[in-house]
Amino acid sequence: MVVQRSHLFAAALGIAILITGSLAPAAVDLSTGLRYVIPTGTLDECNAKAKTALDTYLQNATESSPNDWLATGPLVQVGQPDTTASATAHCYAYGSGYVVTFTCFVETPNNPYDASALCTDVGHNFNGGVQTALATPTPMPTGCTTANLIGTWQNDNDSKLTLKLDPDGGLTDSEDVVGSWVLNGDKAIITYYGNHNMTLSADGKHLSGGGYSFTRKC
Amino acid sequence: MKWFRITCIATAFVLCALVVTAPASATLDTVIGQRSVVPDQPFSDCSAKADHALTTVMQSVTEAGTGSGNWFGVDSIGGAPSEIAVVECHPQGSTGYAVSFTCSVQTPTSADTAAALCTKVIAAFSASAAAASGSASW
Repeated sequence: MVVQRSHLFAAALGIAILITGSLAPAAVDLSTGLRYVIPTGTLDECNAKAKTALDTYLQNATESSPNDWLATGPLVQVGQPDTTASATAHCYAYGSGYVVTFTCFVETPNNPYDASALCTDVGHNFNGGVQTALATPTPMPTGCTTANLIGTWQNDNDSKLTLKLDPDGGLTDSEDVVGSWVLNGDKAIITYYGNHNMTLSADGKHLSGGGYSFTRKC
Repeated sequence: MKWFRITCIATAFVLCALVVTAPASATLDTVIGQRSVVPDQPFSDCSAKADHALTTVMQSVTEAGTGSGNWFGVDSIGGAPSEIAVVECHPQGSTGYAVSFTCSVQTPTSADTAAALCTKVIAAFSASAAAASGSASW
């Protein structure tokens, strides 16, 4: 049987991807175009309502320039300290009233909701419409278990190296380098600067092998 | 042949390891750029300049609703949007318009900061305006 070299490499690459786990690329999701025309009112009124609406769903709404508001978030940051969502509100004088517009940006998959959901709620808060509670991140489970590797792991030989293993089979270190994990019985494959075959202890607290030794915080 | 196969598989695993340990893109950088009011130009001019400016700077450009004057451009890396710029045109008074710029980029994926992206878009809008009117200002 003759196998072309390119086919062999492609097959190996494909299998390796399946084994090591693929990385879903993060992306910015946009919602823009939501606007309300308020026939009677002042820009001060628009600004006050815009700040309230933004602060309801994000944090630190600030007037970056006159009548332009920016807030970042998310509001609930469980295990996610970075800015992964933002929204703007612009107030424009219009006749004897004003126009307000909203634009939202949400990083996916790091948020459990999209930009449209965020902008809809912010807009509805502004104009008194029906608001739907935004999905919140699933809290990281605590405690040690042999059923999974979810949690925060401290390198026994390097106090600066901490890995957070998430419920989706991903891991992130303290410098935002990502990898993945798989557990089968007490045997684990940690993909972090290469693959490491490791063994989980009976109490679910220690992971060792492949040149690493970690202790779970629980 | 045996060693070639082993080399192939080993290389594939190394490539995978590099992919799955790439730095996470976990942060959004968002800014609101300069807002300007142009008193004596029709709204359609703003839309044309917004389209032109975004087309100059971004990979893809869309108007969020035909005739809305709300334009956005997107740059993607590997098919995933990583930089977005929004240009909003609004009628102002009886004959003018207001235009505002908002930019958001994913860091560290994007080469530009949101501020740098907005600066490019604003410059392209300004250049388009200058070319259209024959003057150096909006």
